[in-house]
Amino acid sequence: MTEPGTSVVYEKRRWLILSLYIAGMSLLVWRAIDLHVISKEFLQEHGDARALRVVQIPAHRGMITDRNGEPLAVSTSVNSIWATPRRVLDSDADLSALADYLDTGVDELIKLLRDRIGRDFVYLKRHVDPAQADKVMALNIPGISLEQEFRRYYPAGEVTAHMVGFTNIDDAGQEGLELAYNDWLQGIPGSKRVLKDRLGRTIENVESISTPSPGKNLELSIDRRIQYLAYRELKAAVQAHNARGGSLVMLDSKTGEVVAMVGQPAYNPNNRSGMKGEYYRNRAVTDVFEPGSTLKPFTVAAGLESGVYTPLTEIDTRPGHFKVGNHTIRDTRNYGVIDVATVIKKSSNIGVSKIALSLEPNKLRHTLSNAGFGASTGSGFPGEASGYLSTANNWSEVGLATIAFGYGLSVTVLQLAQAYQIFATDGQILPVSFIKVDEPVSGKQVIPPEFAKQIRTMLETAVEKEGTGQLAVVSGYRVAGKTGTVHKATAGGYSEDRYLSLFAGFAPVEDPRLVMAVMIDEPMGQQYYGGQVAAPVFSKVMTGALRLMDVPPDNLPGTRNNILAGKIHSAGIPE
Amino acid sequence: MKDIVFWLLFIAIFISALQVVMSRHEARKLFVEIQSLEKNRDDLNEKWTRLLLEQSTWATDVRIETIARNELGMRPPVNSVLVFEK
Repeated sequence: MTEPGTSVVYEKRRWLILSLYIAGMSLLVWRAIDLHVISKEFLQEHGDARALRVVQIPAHRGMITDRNGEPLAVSTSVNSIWATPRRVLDSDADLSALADYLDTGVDELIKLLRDRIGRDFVYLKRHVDPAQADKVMALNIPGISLEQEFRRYYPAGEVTAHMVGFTNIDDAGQEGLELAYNDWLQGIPGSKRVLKDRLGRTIENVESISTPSPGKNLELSIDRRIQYLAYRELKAAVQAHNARGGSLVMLDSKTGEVVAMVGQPAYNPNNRSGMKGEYYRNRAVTDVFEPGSTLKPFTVAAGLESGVYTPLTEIDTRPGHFKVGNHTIRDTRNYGVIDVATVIKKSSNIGVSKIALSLEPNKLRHTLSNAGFGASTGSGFPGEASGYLSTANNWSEVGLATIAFGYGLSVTVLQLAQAYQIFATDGQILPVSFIKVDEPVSGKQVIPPEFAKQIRTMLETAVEKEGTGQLAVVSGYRVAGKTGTVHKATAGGYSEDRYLSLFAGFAPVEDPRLVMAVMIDEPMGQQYYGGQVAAPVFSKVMTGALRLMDVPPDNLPGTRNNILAGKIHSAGIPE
Repeated sequence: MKDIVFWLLFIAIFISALQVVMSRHEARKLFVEIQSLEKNRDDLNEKWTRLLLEQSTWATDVRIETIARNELGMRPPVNSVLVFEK
């Protein structure tokens, strides 16, 4: 325009250029509409599928082992098959082989996918073993993927079920020690960024965001061999006496560790389908009952502590019944005038009632609460019951007299075992532990040592000939213990024909190593006395446990004075 | 003088650029390697737990007891045949 004279207008060229521009523009606009509106869904889907994804890396849950390192709960990796329904259905792939692997029909599978077409993630089958999962992936069906997960296996099955508990399908503890120590056992899952292809398969690991840290192992205090023995004998007894259930606890009297803890009925933690919740309960810690005669040694301990009684103090139990208020206390027969040791040996209700009534008002309550009754053992086991012990000052006469022989308070089997441990450890109460204890534990002195020893001697007579617990004997060892046969409390009073059979004791008396409490719930057969039902279980389990733990015998006739701590050798067995 | 500084810096930038590329590549290679090692480790772990389970299944107390009693005719020694060592 600087030289106006030279300007020439090429009309045709101008229009040509202009229309080219317009054509170009409209092409771009069309492309934009195509990308953003028409093909958006297709492109978005493919873009997402190709995009970088952050995936979780599951962490391995810690193993649970017994005190010798034998596995009780182990996680193994398994695969879960999942699908994106739309992609599977759009692919028109043949689903019949897949349906076979999933144990369903093709029609059901297609229906399942159709019903969930809006979702991106649907589990088809969880916890498949890796070999089978590989076969499924080999079918190459679009939209089918695998996820790595862990499955918990319990090699000891029913034997340790109540104690170990179990996890749910998402690997979180639900019951027992799996729940109590969930935080310890559980690992922290990691994550990584991956590049995935159109079929959702990981093509390339791009970077690691955080590495998973596996859970820690847990070493329990139980011995799997003794646990099995206890399980077998308890189950046999429950079946033989047609009982409703039972439980057994064995403690190491040096450390307070639980060596065995079993309950009946049990369940298989590896296959829980169709199991009722009540089977999961660890009865030894969750169920309370009145301890009956097994409580009598504690009444006697209170008597000894008061200074009024010695094992030789004579008590008049004539004529076999005794009125307190308007309540009559009876013995099974008239024992006459007997000393305190015989009160335990014969399990005289009148004897212990008279002791309790002659003590200072709160003496018995103190002794019992010192022995751990009425309070949780502090073991930390989920659902542990604390039992019941009246905290009222000054119990009534009837209350005092009945508590003296174990009615009017309630305990768990674990509490009973822990309380008997006091006699085994010269009067110290030790904390109960489900976990292996390495350092020596210090207990609290609750009964002076000399009284604990005197009661030990009395409890030994209860297992001797003419004692109530003679079926609890263990060949080669001196055993001490007390039987109990308890009328069950029912609505409207005590049942006449429903009992609990109990036995609590320890061995060897010389230097006690193992304490055990056995409870059989409602034996229905001819026999129901603690001495007939529970004592034989004690005997069998104790015999095996002492041998497995290499405890030197303290009662071999003839060689009694030559027993030394050492290994047991068996000479060639004559056939 | 100015020219020399310019060319020195130019070469330095060029070298550092090459090094960035190389270390990127190295990092990627190492990442792939650690991935495969981790996979290897997981596979071995898995195999180990499998073997552990298998072993403890073979060694269940029920099985040992049945074999000892029934097949091998074993029984616990009675006290009369025991000898105690000092």
